[in-house]
Amino acid sequence: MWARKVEIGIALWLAASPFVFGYARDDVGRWVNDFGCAVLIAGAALLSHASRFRRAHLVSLAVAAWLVGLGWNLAWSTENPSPIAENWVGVGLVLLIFAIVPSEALQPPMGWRRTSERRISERKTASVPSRNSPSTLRG
Amino acid sequence: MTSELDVAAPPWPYNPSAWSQRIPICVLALVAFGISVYMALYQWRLIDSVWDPVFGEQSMRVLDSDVSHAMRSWVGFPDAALGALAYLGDAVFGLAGSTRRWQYRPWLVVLFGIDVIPLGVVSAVLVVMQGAVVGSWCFLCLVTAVISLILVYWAYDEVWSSVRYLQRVWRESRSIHVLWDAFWGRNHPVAESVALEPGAASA
Repeated sequence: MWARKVEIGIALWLAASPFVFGYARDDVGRWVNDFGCAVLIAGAALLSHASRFRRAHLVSLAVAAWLVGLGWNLAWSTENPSPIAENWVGVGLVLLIFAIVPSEALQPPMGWRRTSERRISERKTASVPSRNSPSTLRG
Repeated sequence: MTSELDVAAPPWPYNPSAWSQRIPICVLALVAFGISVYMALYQWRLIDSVWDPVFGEQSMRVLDSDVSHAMRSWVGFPDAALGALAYLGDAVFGLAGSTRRWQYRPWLVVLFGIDVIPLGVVSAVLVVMQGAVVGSWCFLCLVTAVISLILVYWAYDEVWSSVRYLQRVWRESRSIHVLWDAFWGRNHPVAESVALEPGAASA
């Protein structure tokens, strides 16, 4: 779940971006974009903690693509590098890296975990001598 | 469960997904990430100069070159920051996954391999080419290029194990569906049977 915690950090940075980069008060579209994306990223990361919705973080991949696209659109329409555009591209690319990481990243996937547990229990069963085994009878 | 995860991955006599193999990669990638962020801070003009004990001011000439500015306008992001992101990806993808991810999450190992191997080689070649194109050298860029090549050398065994595992799944099943499932880490009896197949080392 470490990747989800980083995603929440990314969401907080995005929510702080309008203040950091000094968006104009009447620039409603940018404010809504940054706050909306932050809410989506944090919401998906939090929802991923529930095992039923463990893949909810994949929503952040779409948000990342949106931010990169938006950043490129702004960067290509201006002569000089725009800090706001570079922030969107950077946040989008960092988010892309973390959003790919599965929720239970350090564990094997669910299916393989079950297979592995089955193998372990089979080995345990095989190693316990049954009541009627020759060694038990002799003892 | 731990013993189930820590197994040698054919064709190697060791486990290339073990933490002892992956942690050094992640640490080195984070060092390169730090160096790249430092250079990106200069390109963003958040710091005034770049430390270079060998080539002196040539570093700043490289980071302020026309090639660098052209890349920034194409990609919408400074090239040093782009390098930093690639190294961050190396570290993050290196940390994700269990110690048997070569079998349980081949997609993650392949992604890690794509980030480390082709991107690493290309970035190293680009850094070396800078000297020829720009006419100046950058010590920290060369350090990151060397790190990229070390990362390639350290990472290829795990990627190769995953590729060989998928190859065995394909040979045994001849089914795109089974191969697809194995790639995405879904368990399948065929995938289970060929993962640690005896004699796979010589296959």
